[in-house]
Amino acid sequence: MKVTYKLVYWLMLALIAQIKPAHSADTKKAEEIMKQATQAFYYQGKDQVSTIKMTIVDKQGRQRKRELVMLRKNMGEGQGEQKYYAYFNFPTDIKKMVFMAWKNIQSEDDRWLYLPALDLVKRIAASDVRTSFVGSDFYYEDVSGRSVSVDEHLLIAEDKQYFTVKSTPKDPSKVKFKNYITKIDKKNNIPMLVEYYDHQDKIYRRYKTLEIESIEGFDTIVKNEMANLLNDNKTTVEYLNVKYSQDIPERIFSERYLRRKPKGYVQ
Amino acid sequence: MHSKCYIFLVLLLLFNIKVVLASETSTNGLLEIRYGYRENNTEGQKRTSINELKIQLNTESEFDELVFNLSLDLKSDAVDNEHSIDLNSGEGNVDLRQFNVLFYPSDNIDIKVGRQILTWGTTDLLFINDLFPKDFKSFFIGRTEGYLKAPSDAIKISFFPKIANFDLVYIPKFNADRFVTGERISFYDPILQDFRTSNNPIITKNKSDWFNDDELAMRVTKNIEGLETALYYYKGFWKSPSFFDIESELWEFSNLEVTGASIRTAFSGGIFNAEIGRYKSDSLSKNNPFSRNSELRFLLGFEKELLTELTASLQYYTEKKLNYSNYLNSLPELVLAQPKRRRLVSLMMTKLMLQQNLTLSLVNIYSFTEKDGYIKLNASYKFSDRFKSDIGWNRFFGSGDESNFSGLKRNNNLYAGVSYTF
Repeated sequence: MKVTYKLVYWLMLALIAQIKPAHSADTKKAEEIMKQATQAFYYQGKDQVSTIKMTIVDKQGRQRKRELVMLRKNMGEGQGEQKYYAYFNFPTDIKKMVFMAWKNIQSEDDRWLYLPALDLVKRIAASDVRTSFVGSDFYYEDVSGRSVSVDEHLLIAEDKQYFTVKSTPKDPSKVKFKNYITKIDKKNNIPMLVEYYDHQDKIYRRYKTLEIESIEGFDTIVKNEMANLLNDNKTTVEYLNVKYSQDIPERIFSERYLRRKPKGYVQ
Repeated sequence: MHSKCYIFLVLLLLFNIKVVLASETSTNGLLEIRYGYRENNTEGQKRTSINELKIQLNTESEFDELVFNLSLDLKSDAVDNEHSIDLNSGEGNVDLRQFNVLFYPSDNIDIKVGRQILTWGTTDLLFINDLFPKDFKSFFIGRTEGYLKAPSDAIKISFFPKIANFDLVYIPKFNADRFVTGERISFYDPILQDFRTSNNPIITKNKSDWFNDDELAMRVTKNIEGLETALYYYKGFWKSPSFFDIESELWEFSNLEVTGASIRTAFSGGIFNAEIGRYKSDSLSKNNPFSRNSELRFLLGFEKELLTELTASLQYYTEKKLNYSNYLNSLPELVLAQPKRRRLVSLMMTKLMLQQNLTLSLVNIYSFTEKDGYIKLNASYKFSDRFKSDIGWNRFFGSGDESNFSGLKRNNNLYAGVSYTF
C-alpha cells in the first residue's frame, strides 16, 4: 500500500513539473509588465482631454494633417470599459465630424460617426480593429488599446532601464503580425518602442515614444510616431493641452453631444 | 424676387453683426466646380446635367451660451441660369443651407431655431421615419452626399431626462422635398402618359400658409447598452406631391400622419437595423386614383466590414398599400394599376484605399416588384487635405418607362467635380 501511495505522489509531482513551463515566472512577470504598460498608455487618470495633431507623411514626403480633440473616460476600476469621443477640427472637409466609441471588454466595441453635413449619426460596422485610424499609420487598436489577455507575453530581456517583452497572439488568425516586441521604461511603465514582426521575422511596423512630460503627476506621452516600413509611411502625433481628471460626465458620450460639441471640453 | 433679395441682404447684415459680437468665430469655405453630362440627348432637356461653380461659406460663432451657425452656397449653374433665387427649392444663385442658433436653457434641454439640416432614423436612402426634406435631384445629378438632405426651417427642442431622450421638431411652414418636377431631371408621368421635362414640368399648389400648413415631428430614443431603440411620430404632409387634382390640374401635398419605430444594434460582427412606419394618408383623397394610399413600410438592414476597409450594407424594404381596394375601384380603365406591395433591396459597398485617400463606392437599389433599379458608382480622391476630386455614374435601369426608376432612365449621366476647402 505504502509503495502505491509513494508512487502516486511521485507521479503527481512529475506531472505538475510537466505542466508548468520552465519560464512560468517570466510569463507571469511579463503579463504584469504589459498590464502596467497598458495602464500607463491608455488608462491614466479617471479621464483625459487632449488636443491631437497628427502629421502623416508618405514616401514622397507629402504631408496630411489631422486635428482633433479627444476625450477619454474610464468607466470602472482597473482596465475595464472606456468611452472615447473625438471631435475633428481639421481637415476642413471633416470639421465637426465626431467619432465616438464605447470600448467593451467582453464584446466588440460600439462605434458611431457623426456626419454634420447630413446631420447623420452613423453606426460603424468595423469588425477589424487593425485598420487605419482616420488614414494614419495608427490602427484603431493602437488608439483604444489592445487587451493584454489576447496575447501570450514573455520577458525576453531586462536591464537597468528597460523591460523587453515579446508578445505572441493567442489567435493568430485575427492579426497580420507573428509577434511584437515592446521595450518598456521601468521608471514609468511607458512603452518606448514596439516592433511588429511578420511571419518572415521581419519588422514591418515600428512605434516610438518621442517625448514624455509629467502632467498632474502622470508621466504622459506628448509625442509619438508609428512607421509603416512596408510603404515608408510615417505618422507623428503631438498631444497638446493634456488634462486629467476633468470629471467628464458620462452623458457627453452620447448622441446629444455628437450633434452639439461639449463646451468646456472641446474648443 | 425683390423681397427675396432683401431677405438675403438682411441675412448677410445679421451675419456680420453676429461675427463682430461673437467671442469666438470660426469660418471656412469651399470652392467647387462640378460638371455632368447625360448619356443620351433627349427632347426637353439639356445634354449637360450640371455645370456648376460654387462657393460655400460656413461660420460658427459662439456668444456666451449661444452658438450661431451659417452655411451659405453662392452658385452659378449654366444648365439652370434662368431661375430666380428660391430659398425653398435651392434654385437660383443662392442656397441657404443653415442659418440657426443653438442654445441650452437648462442642463437637460437643447433648442435649435432656424434653418437646419435634420436627420433621424436608421435607414439609408430608403427612408421611413425620417420625414425631413430630401433632395434626390442633387443626388441624381451627382452633387456630393451632403446634398441629399435639404434644409428645414424649424424649431428643434430636445429633452434629455434620465428615462429617455425626446426630440420635438416644429416646422411652422411646410418644407417639401426638393422633388423631381421634370426640370433638369425628367421622369415618366403615368397620368400624362408621357415624360415630364423642362418643357412641361409638374405644377404644384404651394403649401405656404404659416402655422396652418405646419409640420410636427417627434422622436423618443433610448440607448440600452448599445441597443438603440426609437419611436417616431410625424404629422404633416407627403413631402413630394402626392395628389393630382383633376379639375385644377395641379399637384398637391395631401395630409400625412406617420407612426413608427426602429432598432439598431451591433450583431454578429456587423450592425443590424430594423425600422417600421405606418403612413396614414389623407382619407379625403381616397377616391382619387392619383392620390397616395395609406402604406405600411418596413425595412431590415445589415452592414458589415467584409474585408479590410471594405464595407457592405444590405437593406430589404417593403411598402404595402393599405387601402388597395379603394385604389383599384377608383382607377380609370386605361391606367395601369400599381401593385399592392413593392419590394426593394439595396446594396451599398464602400472600399477605402491608398491610406483612405481613395474612396470607391457603389449604391445599387433594385425593385423586385417593378424589375427596375438604380446604380450609382463613385470614386473620390483626396489629392491633399484641401484638394479633392470625384467622378461618378448615375444609371437607372428597367424595361419600359412606366415604373419609378425606369421612368428616370433619360437622366443617366456621368459627372465629375473638383473642390478646394479653405
